[in-house]
Amino acid sequence: MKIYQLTPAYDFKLPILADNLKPELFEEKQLSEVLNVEVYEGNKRKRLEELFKIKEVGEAEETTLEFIGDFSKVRRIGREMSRGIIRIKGIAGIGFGEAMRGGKIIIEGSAGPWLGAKMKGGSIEVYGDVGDFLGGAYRGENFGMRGGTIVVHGKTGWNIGYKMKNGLIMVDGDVGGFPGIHMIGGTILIKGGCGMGAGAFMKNGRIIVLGYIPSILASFSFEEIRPSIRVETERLKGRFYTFIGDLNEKGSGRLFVNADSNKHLSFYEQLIEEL
Amino acid sequence: MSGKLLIKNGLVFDPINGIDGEIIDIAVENGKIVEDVKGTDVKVINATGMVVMPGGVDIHSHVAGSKVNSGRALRPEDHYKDYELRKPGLRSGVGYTVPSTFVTGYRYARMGYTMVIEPATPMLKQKHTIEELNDIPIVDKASFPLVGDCWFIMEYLEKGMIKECAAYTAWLLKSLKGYALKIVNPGGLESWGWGRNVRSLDDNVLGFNLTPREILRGLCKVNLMINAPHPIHVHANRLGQPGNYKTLIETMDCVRDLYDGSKPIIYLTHCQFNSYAGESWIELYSGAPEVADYVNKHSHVVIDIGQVIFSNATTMTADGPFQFQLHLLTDYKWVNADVECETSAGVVPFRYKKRNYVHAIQWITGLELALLIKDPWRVFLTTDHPNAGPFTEYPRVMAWLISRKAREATMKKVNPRALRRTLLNSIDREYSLYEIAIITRAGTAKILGLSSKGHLGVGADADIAIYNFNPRNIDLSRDYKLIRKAFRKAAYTIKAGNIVCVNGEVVKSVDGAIFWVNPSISKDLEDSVVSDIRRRFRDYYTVEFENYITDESLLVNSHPLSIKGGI
Amino acid sequence: MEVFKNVLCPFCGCCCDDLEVEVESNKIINVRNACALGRGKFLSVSENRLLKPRVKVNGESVETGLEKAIEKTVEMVKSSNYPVFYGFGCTSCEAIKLCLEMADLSGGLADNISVVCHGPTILGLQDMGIPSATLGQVRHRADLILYWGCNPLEAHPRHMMRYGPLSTGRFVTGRKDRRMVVVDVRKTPTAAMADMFIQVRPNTDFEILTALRALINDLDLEVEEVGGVAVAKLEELADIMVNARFGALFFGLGLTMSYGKEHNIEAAIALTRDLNKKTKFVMIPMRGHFNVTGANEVFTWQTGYPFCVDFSMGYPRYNPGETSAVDVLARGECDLLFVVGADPCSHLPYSIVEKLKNVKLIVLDPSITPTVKMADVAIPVAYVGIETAGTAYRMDGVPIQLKKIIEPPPGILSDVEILTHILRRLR
Repeated sequence: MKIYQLTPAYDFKLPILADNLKPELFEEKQLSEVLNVEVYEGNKRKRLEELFKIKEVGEAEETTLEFIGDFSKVRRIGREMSRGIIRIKGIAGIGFGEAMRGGKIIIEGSAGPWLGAKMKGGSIEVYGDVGDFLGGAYRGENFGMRGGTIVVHGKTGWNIGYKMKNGLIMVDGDVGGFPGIHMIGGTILIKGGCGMGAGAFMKNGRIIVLGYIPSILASFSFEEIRPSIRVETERLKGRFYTFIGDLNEKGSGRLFVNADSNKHLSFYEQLIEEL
Repeated sequence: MSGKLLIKNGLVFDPINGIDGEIIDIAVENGKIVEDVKGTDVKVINATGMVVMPGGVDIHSHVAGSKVNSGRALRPEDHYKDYELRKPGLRSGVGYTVPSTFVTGYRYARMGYTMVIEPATPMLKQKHTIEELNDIPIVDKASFPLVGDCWFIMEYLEKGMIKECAAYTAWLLKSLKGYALKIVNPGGLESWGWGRNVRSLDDNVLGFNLTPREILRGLCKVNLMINAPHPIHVHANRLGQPGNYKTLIETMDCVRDLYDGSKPIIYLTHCQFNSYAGESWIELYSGAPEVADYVNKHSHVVIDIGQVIFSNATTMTADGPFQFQLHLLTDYKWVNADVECETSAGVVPFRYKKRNYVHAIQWITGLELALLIKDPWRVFLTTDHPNAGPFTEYPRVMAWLISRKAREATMKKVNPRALRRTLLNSIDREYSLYEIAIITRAGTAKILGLSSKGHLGVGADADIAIYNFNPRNIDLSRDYKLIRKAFRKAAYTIKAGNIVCVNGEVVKSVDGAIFWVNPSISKDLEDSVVSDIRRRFRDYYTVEFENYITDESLLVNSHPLSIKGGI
Repeated sequence: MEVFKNVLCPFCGCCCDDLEVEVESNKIINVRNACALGRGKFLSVSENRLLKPRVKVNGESVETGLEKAIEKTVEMVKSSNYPVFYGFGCTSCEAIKLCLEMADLSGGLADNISVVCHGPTILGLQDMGIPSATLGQVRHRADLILYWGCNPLEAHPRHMMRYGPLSTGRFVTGRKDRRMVVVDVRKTPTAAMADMFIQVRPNTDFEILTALRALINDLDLEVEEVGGVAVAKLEELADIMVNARFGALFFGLGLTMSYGKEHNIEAAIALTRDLNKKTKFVMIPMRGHFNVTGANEVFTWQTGYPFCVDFSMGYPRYNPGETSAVDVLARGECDLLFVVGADPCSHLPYSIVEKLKNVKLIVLDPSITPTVKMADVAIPVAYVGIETAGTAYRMDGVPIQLKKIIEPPPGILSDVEILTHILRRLR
C-alpha cells in the first residue's frame, strides 16, 4: 500500500468540501484519476490537483494519507472512511472523519468542530485541541457516535459526545460545557475539568470527570462513592462520587466525579449517612 | 395561455365521461380541452400504448401553512439526505416527509398530479397558507379553513342562530379565500385550550354550551344553506384511539337526517385513523368492515382512506390533544401550536414499521376500507400526507389496490399476528384502472364540485397525465411493479395545456391557480352579521378586524368560484 | 389630512396592528396607540436618510446613479465565489423571497438575524419541539405569566397590556386574576411589576430550569440552592406553575445568549413540555424585530431550514456553526456580504466587523447606518411598513400586512423593486 502526501496548493480562504478524500479513493483510483476528481470550493467546482499538491511518498502496510499544513477550510476529510490511515500535521477542518467506520486518524495539531461526528468505528487520536461537538451529531438526528475510540491529548470545546450511543471518548485536557449532553450510551472520560451541564438529558452511558466540575445538575442523584472505575482495559483508582441521571429523562446514566478535585461537592457525602 | 396540443392514440380513462380505456385523441388549445386542433403549430404527443388520464386531484394533503412549516423546521434530519438541485428555471429544495414548497410542486407534477388541497388551515394564519401555496409551482391549489371550534361560530350555534352562522361562514370563505369548511375533532380543539379533550359526540365543550354533535349538525346545515360545492370535511373525534370506529360511524350517522338524496353531505377524512376496533393497543384490530358496511349502506357519506406507508412520516394535524398523546406514547419531539379563538395544531415525527403489530393493523385497516367499500366514487386515495406516509408513495398504494400480489408481497413482511386478526388476507378484490382514475382524480374532482377538473371532456381544464404502460399488453395484477413505476414518473404531465413534465423530469414551471369559493348571500344579512362581528372583534382576536382578511392581491393566481348561497 | 387605521407597527415582534397614523402632505404628523419605540420610528423617517446610491471608488464613498449601482451589484454577485446574503429582520417577506432566490441562483449562503438572537431557540426546538400558541391564547386564558430573561417593559412596551398580565381576556379578566413572575439576573423595570421576582446568578439559567423541571417531576433535590436561588423558592415557583390553570412562559435573549445558549432553551422546552402532563402550559419567544419571524418562516418553507442555509453546492445545506453567517464571517470565508433589512456593522461582534474590510459589502437600507458607511455599494430603499407594503409575521407566527402610509423620498424605490431588478439580470 502507498503513502500519499497532500499539502494545500495555496492559502485557502473559501470553504472546500472534500468528503471523498479518504484512503479508499486512492485505492479505487490511480493517482492521475484522483487529481481530476472535482470538489466544491465555495460555489465553484475545482479539481483536486488545483487545490492540493498530492504526491506518492512511500509504502506502508495500509494506504496512508499525510496531510501537511492548514486544512481548516477543508471540510469532512475522511468522511465514512473504512480502512487505512489519515495523518495530519497541521489543522483539521470541520467534520474531519465524520461517520468513519474503520481505519485510523492521527492529528498532530488541532481540529475543528464535529471531529468524528456520527463515528461508527475505527480510531481518532488528536495531539492538540479540538472544537465543539467532538464525536457528536447534527441537529434533529436521533443519535451521534456509536462506535470507535477518540483520544484527545489537548482540550476540547463544548457538547462533546452529543447524542452519543456507543464508543469511547477520552480527553486529557479540559472540556467545555455540556459534555455528554443527550447521551444514550458509551463512555466519556475527561481527565481534566469540564464546564457546567455534564450529562444533561442523558438517558444512559457513563461520564467520568477526573478534574474540576463546577456543579452537578439537580436532576442527578447521588448514589455512592466508588473506589475505582474501569475504562476498557484501564482501571482508574480514586474516590469517585457517583451520580445517576438524568432523572428528568428517567435516565440511568452514570456521572463519576473525582472527589479529590471537587472538594466543593463534599456535602454530597452527608447523604450517605442519610441513606 | 398556451399553444395547441394533440395527444394521439392514447388509452383514455375518463370516468366522469364514462370512458374506460378507449383509444381517443385529446385536443388542447388555450389551456382547455377542445374538440379538435388544426394548424402547423400543433405539438403532437404520440401516446400510442400509453394510458391517458386527467391530472391527479389530491383532495387531502398537508402541504402548506403554519403547522406544515413547523414540521419542516422541526425536522432538519428529514431533509439532510433528500434534496433536489437547482436547475435552469427550477429552484432547489429538500424532501422527504415535509418537502419544501418548490419540491412539493415538482414531485406532484412528476406523478401526473395537477391539483392539491391543503385541508386544514387556521384562519388567523390564512395568509401564511396562501403565501406557501403561492410558492408551490405547477399544481392548482385550494385550502380548507378550520371552522369547527371557532368562537364566533360556536356561539352562533349555541344560540341557534343558524342563518347568522351560515352568513358568517360564507363571509369567512370569501374573505380568507378558502374553499370548504374543515372540522377537526369538533369541540376537542377548544377543550385543548385548557389541555383537555372531548370523548364523545355528546360531551360538553368546556366553556361553551355545545356538544360536538351540535357543531357537526350545525355546520352541516350551514354548508347546505350556502350551497357550498364540497360537503363539510371532517376529521372525527377520538382519532387514533382503540375502539374509535364506533365514534366514526356515529359521526357519519349524526347528520343522516339532513340528506336530501342528491349529493353527499359529509366527508370523513383519513378514516383509517378512525377505524380501530379493540379496547387497547394490544388488542387492536381493524374496524374497517363495520365502517365499510355503513358507508356501503348510506350514500350521504364520502371518505378518504389515509393509507399507512411503512416508512418515516411526520404526523401533523389540528388535533392538538391527539398529537400530545402521540408524543406521550412515543417520546418523540412535539410541537404544539394553538390558535386563539379557533383551533390547535401539533406535529410529532413518526415511523411505521412492518413488524410492529399496531402499525400493521393500521396498514391493513386502510386497505380494507378501500377494498370493502364498493362505490369508488365515495372512497378516495390519500395518505393524509405526511401523517400516514409521504404523497410520493401514492403509486405504491395504487399497486396495493390494483394487485393482490402486491398486497401479498407486503403481507409476507408484516406482523403475522395482525394478519391473522383481520380480513385483508382473504380479500381478492382488485381495482381496475378505471376505478383508480376515480379514486385519484375523477371522484375527488367531482366531490370538490370542480366541474372543470378530473375529466377530459371538451371544456375541461387541460390538466392531463400520460402514463407509460399499456393495460392491454400487461397483466395489471402480476405486473404491479411496472404500474407503480409508471405512476411514479409520468411520461407526460400537462398543466393548463403546458407540458410541464416529460418522463418524470420537470421541464417547465408554471404558476398554478389558487381556487376559492365566493358565496353571494343576502346583502342585508351579510352586512348585519359582519357589523356584529366587527364590533366585537377586539374582544376575541389580537389582530384588528380589517387585518384578519386575506386580500385577493396576496394570491399570485386567484381563481374564485362564485356560488349563489341559499340565504 | 389623512388618517390610516389598523396600521401594523414595523418595530418589534409584538407587531401591534392597531396604530393610527395621521399624514399631511406626505408627512407623518402623528401616531396614536403606538409605544415610544414605534412612534419614534414613524416620526423620524426623514432623518438620516440615505438619499442616493453610493459606491466606493478608491476607498471613497461616492454618489452614483441607481443603474450604475445595480450594475455593480450584479457584477459583484456574479463574480463571487461564496456570497453571503444576510439580514431580513426589518423587511417584508416579499423581499426575503427575492433574496433567497438570489442566494439559490448564485450559489451563496442565506442567513437571517436569528443567528444573533433566537437562533438558539430554533436549535432547541429542532431537538425538542416546542409547546406554543398564539398570543391571544395567553390573553384569554393565562392565570400565570412568566417573563424569563427578557424585559418587555423596555423592549416590547405594549406586550404586557396587549397579550400579557395587563390584558383582558374572555376567561381571565385582568391583572388581579393573573400572577406575574419574572426571572432575571437583575431587577428590571418589568421585574418591579411582578408578583414574584426571582433573581438568578448570571449564567445559571440551565441549572435552575433543570432543577425546576425536577421539582415538577416530583424528584427530590439534594442541594439547597441552585444558581443563587434557594430551593425553597424554586419549590414555591414549581407549585405555582403546576397549580396554574394555564401558564405562559415568555423568554428572550437572557436565555438564548447566556451560558448554555440553545441548551437553556432545550431546558425551558423540556420544562414546559413536562408541565403539559399536569396542566396547560405554552412558551413563546420574544422576537426582537417585526419580521424576523417572517424570515424564519420564508426560509423554512422555501428551503426546509429556518436560517443558515448554504446553496453553494446547488441545494440547501444546513449546519449552524458551519453555515451560519456569523461563523462564516468570523472565519473569513466569504468574499461578498449582501445585506438587506439589518445593520450588521452595528450588531455583530467587533472582531467580525473588522474582517469585513476584506469582504465586498453591498447593503440596501433606508438610512445611513455604520454598514452603509462601510459598504462598497449602498442603495437607498423605502422604509418597509411605512413607505412600502408587504407581509410580516408576529412573534407567534401570525401573518399581518404592512401598509404603505407615505411615499418614499423622490427617486427611492422599495427593496422589492431593487431586488427584482437585480434578480432579473442575474437570471
